[in-house]
Amino acid sequence: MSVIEEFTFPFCVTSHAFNKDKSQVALCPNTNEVHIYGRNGTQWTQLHVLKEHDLLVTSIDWAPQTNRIVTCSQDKNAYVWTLDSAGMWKPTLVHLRINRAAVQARWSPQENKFACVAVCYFGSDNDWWVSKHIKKPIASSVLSVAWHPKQRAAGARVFSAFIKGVDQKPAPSAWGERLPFNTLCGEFEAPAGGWVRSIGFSPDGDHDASLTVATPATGEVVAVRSPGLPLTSLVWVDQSTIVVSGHDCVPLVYAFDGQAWRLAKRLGDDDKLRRSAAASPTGNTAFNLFRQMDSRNQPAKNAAAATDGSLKSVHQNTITEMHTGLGGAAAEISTSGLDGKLVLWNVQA
Amino acid sequence: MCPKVEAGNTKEVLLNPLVVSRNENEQVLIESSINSVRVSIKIKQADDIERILAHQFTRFLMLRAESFIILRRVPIKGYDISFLITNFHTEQMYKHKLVDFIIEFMEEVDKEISEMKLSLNARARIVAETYLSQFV
Repeated sequence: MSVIEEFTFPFCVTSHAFNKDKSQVALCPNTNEVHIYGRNGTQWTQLHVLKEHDLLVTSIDWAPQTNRIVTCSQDKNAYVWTLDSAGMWKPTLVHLRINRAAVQARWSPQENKFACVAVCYFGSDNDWWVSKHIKKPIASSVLSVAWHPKQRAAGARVFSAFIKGVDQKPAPSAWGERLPFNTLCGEFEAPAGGWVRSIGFSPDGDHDASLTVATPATGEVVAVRSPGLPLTSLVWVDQSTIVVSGHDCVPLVYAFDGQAWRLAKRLGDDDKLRRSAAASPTGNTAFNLFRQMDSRNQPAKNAAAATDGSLKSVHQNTITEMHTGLGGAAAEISTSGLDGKLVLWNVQA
Repeated sequence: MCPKVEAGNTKEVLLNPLVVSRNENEQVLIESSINSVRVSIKIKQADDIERILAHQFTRFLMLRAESFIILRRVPIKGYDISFLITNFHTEQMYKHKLVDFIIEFMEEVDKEISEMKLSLNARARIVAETYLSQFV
């Protein structure tokens, strides 16, 4: 559970994606461009600038096997980028037919489709990416999508905080036998009514700093409250481990101990070189400040912030995106933050 | 994109507002949305002097709102001073520093107003003494 590598870029990294062997990374510097950096020892050098979107790029995903990049943006478009023989990235527009910004795009495990607001696949007969909408109208932005290992998609929406499952290749599972496309496999509502900000397959992280795990086989929905600020993203490491991150700047590891989901560790806390004193138990600096003022009746200096004003966590600002399974290892995750940091973590070490 | 908490035309991107209150004269209202948060503060005003001081002081600050970046030019109705933090502010600045700024700001305003009240009273006393001394 330590930092493998840490890189700082001079801009907010709002989205990132690594290629298969981690030699290149696609970053969105909080603009309408996507920069591709190649690795040069411990440095990154800019190789390409993908400039086709009109508005802020919201999500990037790099398909490891087929070596394609999908980007989606607030301009309601998505592009699929392929590397041509001349070594240039060539965009292909995907017409999403949506009236809201596209917020997240993810490749399916077989990499022949991706999910955005709609499920998109390559129509080989007319050489065009075709989007297929879910029939049941979604009356708000789709904030997060995730794929089941067997090619099923799930989307989370803001308003009613439901998760939809969309089946494409019928396979018997807990979600039922033989489901055609468009079937709503399940709807889950976050108990506290907050926004669902991120989903893995079947779990969801939502805006009121709780983590909800839904098991479709039993219809069981378990909510886990976290002590800190709202969470925005999550990834599954294995069957019983989830890593969540968000506005608290520290990725948290939750583990299932047979009965309940518990906070197992905070990533980066054991890094003695960086952080000499113990981090605050909640990670909530303002809360600690007031508590100290209340109990000691004196204006306490901010406990979690060091004297130079930096936080003790690795990230200094909100973590915007997490990716897992780098280089084929599920325990290796990468995070990017508004502080311009891109960090590679090993969850299990 | 406009701050959704200001536009208020899309209900689904607004979260429930939160009031932190010590008593009816000292309240903080926090309204959050998908890309912005508005923090409004009601400063303690026990008597007329404090009311005048708080009004003058907040007016002085809000006239210079652009140098405070997150300060709103006009407070929310029922409150004395409002901050508007958007996603662009959190991208440019550290979040913990923004929180520290607002907390420090609240402490400073309280301190400043009670100091001004004290000096005002002291001044009034001196003026009264000087004026009345001619009749002794």
